[in-house]
Amino acid sequence: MRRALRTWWALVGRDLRIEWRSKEILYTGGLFAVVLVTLFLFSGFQDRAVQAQAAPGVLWVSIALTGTLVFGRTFERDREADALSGLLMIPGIAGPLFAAKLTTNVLLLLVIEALLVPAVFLTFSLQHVGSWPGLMAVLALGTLGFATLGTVLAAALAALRMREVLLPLVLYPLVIPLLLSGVRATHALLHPHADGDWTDWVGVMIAFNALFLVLARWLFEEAVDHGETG
Amino acid sequence: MSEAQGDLLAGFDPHPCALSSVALREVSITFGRRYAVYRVSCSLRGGEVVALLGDNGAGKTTLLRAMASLIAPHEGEIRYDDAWDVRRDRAALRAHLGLIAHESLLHPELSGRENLALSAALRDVPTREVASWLELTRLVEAADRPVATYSRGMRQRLSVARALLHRPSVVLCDEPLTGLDRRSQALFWEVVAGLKARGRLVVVVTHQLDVPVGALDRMLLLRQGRLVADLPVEGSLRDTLDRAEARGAGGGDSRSGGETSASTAEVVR
Repeated sequence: MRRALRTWWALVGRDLRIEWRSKEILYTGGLFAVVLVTLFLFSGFQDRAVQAQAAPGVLWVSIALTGTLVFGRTFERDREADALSGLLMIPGIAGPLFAAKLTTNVLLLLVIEALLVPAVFLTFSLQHVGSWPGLMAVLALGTLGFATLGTVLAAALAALRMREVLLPLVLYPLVIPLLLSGVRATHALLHPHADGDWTDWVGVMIAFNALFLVLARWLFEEAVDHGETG
Repeated sequence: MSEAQGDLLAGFDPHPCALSSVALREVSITFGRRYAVYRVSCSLRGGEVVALLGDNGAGKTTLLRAMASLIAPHEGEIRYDDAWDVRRDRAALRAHLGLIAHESLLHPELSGRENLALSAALRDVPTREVASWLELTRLVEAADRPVATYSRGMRQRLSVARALLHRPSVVLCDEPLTGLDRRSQALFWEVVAGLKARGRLVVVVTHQLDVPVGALDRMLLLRQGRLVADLPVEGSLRDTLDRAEARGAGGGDSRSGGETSASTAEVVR
């Protein structure tokens, strides 16, 4: 267990060091997210009430689109110079590698969300939130579940030529229930008197997170280690 | 062998070979409907340096990656020490295998020192050994530059260090000489000789026939996925290849400039 933790820590450190030097994912992801929010703002949501109704959807669509950029790129880095094969030659790497990739993906997405949420609040003139800790919990759960599925699918598709196209095609249908729960929970938090209880949706999100984590941990080793088998 | 190499490879001595042989039995590997490797059988022992030759597309890299447990054979089996199967025991086996691939297997964004330090951390090798390997591979001055700025030869030298850092019992090399200058090639063969002296099995996929006499023990020749010759290397590798062809293992392997020719071939089911 201690060895697995050390390996996880070393791999997270590697991923974050590479990103810190290039800032490639943060710059492209952050800019992409802001562009999306701006486009949504100018796409007809002129009425304040409509803006407030549309904001949760805009927020989660932006997270979903930006997320696929992040997941694809973190694995693409390991394909350069076939560094992934070098990692796979290390015994017992699959579990820590999955945990490290998931950690990196979640952290990067959360940093982008730290930019995205204020951008949505500002551009859609949102002022009231039922519970800030609640909103943070909803974002964290949505991000974790989305990143869990995104990480394992990015690993499974990493060996394929059309991986950039296939990732969103495979990921979005599977993650829709989680994203819908996120939208409903966020809506309930932004409109406490008009919608149901946000905690009901958090329960659904926790259930999806548990399911995705179990599936991903089970599938990741097969996905990443047998990618070459013809 | 230089003093630095002697010191460094001496680090292998307290570590007895965990693996001393590998047996391939009727190994076939397919990609889609095509056989990349077809019913290859042979046994290799520790202390041997084996050249794996063949035209482009002959199946050399695929076979090497199967021996490294990165590709599972579709038919037949690969067993180390008659017990450890590459499919079933791949996690345990990988602790004792070193792989130098055609690609560097390094992280281009990290420096040479960071790449080796990461491998050392993941392999439970003391970090202090990183400096010795950088010295051996003549990369001390470039150690803190990103690997992306290295020449092909520098990356290849760093790959050798990364592959040997954990003192593997079996070293699998896929065209390790590509891009290396003569001095680095000589260094590579010296390291291989040091590994052989310490009972390690070294398998080298190569197109280059200008190998120092005495550096290799055996030559395996693949053609269209089949093993067509398995001979001891007597004299030069070029002479041994000529001998193999004279015995009827030939078939389109025209050579020029010290390299085997590039022809693609597939065995179709």
